[in-house]
Amino acid sequence: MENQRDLGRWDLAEVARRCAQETTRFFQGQDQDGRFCYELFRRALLERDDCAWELLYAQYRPLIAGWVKRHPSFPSSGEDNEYFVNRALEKFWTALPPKRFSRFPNLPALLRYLQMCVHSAIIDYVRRAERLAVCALDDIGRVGNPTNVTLEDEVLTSSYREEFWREIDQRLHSEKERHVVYGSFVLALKPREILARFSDIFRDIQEVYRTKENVLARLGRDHELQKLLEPDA
Amino acid sequence: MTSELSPEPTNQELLAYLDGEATPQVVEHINQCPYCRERAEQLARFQDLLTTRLYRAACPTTVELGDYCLGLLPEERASETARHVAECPHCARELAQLREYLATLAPHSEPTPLEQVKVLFAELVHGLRNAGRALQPAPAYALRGEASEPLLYQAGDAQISIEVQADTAHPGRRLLLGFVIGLPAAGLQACLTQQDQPIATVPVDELGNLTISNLAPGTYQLVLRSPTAEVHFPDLEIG
Repeated sequence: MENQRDLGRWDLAEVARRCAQETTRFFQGQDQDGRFCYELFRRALLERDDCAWELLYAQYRPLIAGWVKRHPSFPSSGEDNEYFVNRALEKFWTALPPKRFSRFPNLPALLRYLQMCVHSAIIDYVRRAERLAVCALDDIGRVGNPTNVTLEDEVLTSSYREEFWREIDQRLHSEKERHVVYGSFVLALKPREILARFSDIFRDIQEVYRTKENVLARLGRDHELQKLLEPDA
Repeated sequence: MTSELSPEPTNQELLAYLDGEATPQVVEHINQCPYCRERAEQLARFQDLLTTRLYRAACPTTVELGDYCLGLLPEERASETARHVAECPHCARELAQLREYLATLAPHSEPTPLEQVKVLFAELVHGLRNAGRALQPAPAYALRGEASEPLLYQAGDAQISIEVQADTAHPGRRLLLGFVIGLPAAGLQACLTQQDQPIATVPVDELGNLTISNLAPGTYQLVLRSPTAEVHFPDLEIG
């Protein structure tokens, strides 16, 4: 009986064919051998074999599409199923470089991670839509929609936000100010929600508003910060 | 310029007004006072700028949250993420949603019809006499000339023949003809792409025939799709 190492010498087309066969057996409730599909994943992710990746895409596209359809946030996204299938696979590819493959010793572990990538792709979309709803403009000053933001945009704007938060944090004078700014603008909470969440920090709602008033007045007089906020002003 | 009305709301009261928490007196004053309305708008704009640049700035990416959920983060990063999730209602909600979602997709769950689509890879057969014997995969054959010999494929129990002819309705172009046996014709479509760009999607008729016309010479990818199966072919080179 072939072991996993022997499968590395098999012709790719035959590995793909056996993977398809075993997947059908799985859905028919029969005993199935996950080694062939695992080998397909291994060649695609560890060896970065393009042909193996294409076969993997073909084999798992219907399964991933089914997972997308089952996600509770998918129906309200208004987005095409195929869009999320492709985003999920992009994430899977990026999040599993060769050095990380050894952390997934079997097929169920890989499929679980792929399921997580489906969730991640959909929630990224939801996050962008929420951000557009919360913010008058999108992160870098353009009016946009969640679909048009690329992975590169996402990384760049995420880094920008983290950097900006560090700039603000340096200008805060107390834990109370930090909690008010963090709660108001990072978490987008109302003062009552800040009071509820940080009830050990603030006595009452007036203290939250007082702290917010003071810190906003000081930040509003900070010329360097104003330049960061509105570089074109 | 000062307000014509008094008392003028404090900045704290303006903040409460923007949060919908102001007293009726403050609301009335702002509605009647252009100066205080301008103050409120400036404060709102400043807060919007901060929110635009800070919203969820401290939140881990969705992949990182997923890694945390699956126990794949290094210990220190996992501790940081746990602390963040404890104070961030948005990440706490997303994590709970992920756990619930993974639980519904557990292996014992009933697969949906979409998940049960059987995927087959067509292999080139060297003549129908070889049907049923061990098949050796072969590279894509070029389909050239005014009328080429049909290529015969097998995919599971299905047999598919593909041939190319000159397309008389479009001089210089080709006509791809296919004949499918062993796959249910209901809902069966032939999808032709070229470097991920869709070229044509045509139905396979009840007799198993398919026709794709007006094709330029080149390399194409063909997939037969039905509600229950997909058949993927090696690259087709049409000359």
